[in-house]
Amino acid sequence: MKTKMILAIAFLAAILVLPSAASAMKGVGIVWDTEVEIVDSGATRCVQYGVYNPWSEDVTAELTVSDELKSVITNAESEAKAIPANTMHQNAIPIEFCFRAPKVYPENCMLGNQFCEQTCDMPEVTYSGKIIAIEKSSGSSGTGSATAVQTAVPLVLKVRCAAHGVDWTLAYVVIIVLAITAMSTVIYKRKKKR
Amino acid sequence: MATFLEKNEKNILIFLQVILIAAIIGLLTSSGTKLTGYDTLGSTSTVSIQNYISIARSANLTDGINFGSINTLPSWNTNATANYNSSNQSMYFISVSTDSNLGVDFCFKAVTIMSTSTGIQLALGNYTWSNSTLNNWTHPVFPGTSVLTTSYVAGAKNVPVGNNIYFRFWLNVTTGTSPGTYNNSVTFQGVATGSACS
Repeated sequence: MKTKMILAIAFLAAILVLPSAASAMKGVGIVWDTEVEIVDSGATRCVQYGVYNPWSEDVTAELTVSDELKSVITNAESEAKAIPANTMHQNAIPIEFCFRAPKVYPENCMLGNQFCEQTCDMPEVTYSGKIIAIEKSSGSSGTGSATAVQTAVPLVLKVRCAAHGVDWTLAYVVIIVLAITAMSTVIYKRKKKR
Repeated sequence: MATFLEKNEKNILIFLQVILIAAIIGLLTSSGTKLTGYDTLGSTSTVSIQNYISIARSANLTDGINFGSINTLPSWNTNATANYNSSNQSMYFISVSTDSNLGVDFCFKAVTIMSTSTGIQLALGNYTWSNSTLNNWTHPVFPGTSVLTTSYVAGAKNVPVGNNIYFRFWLNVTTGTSPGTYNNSVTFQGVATGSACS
């Protein structure tokens, strides 16, 4: 009787577990409310997207960009975050992607890279690509291919030119230092003479 | 020169003081970078539009696309192990979540060429696939309609919310292929319908 009971429980457990194992799905989703980002030339910018996981298995996700954007931005950085199973889009977990925009507008400099001005007489530069939510795959073993899924959304990066005149700060500092040095010398000599 | 300096000591000091004060005023009033900006006047209307898509792979696809052991060469159109189940359906599929508000276009690529741990490669031209929104004995169709490449290739388009896209994969192994375990990674990308693969 006891053995039959154990077998019955084992059978029921197998029935309950097998379908869920067979239907176990692993994936990632992305929420977006803009497809255009405006960023100053050479500036660092962080964009934020919601990443969600309405599926039955926990995943770890992070953001990256497509190759077109990878080739123009620098210092790209995103943190990987755990996205629990059954996280719907309303509860999407924000993930930041930070990068430095390219310096695309040449400056007119008087001395090396000092005393530069930016006149912004070039047309606005834009780059098109994608921002991608990646489900970080643990990979699989055996002959064949490990698989990964990702969701991607369009991103147009508009690099804005920030016009500015020549920055004379360094010149003023140098003049102040020279003037103070010269005044100190004159005063010192005068006191020494007396 | 020394006599000139001594005679005009007072004037020189005054001159230096003027220079110093002028430089300090210049430094304080210098704003350095002068930014230009945009200013908009008037009332504004605001609407926030949010899009969201999510896809997931089946358990078999999560386990990887496996071709088992191939012991007889050449071996043409070797089936991946989950191409046909007992009901002649493919167990490789990707679902578009019902928690999405757009249809999804699919793109695929191999991240790397198939190779052994010692670096012996198996050309991707030998690796073919088909996809379909139908899943039966004939669909996804045999033989593979596309060759796996390291660039994104478009697959099924506008797969509706809540639907699946099914796959089958085949591998050709020619005579003379070095023995070994060949691996690579395949990425399945879902994009909002109408977006290009990249």
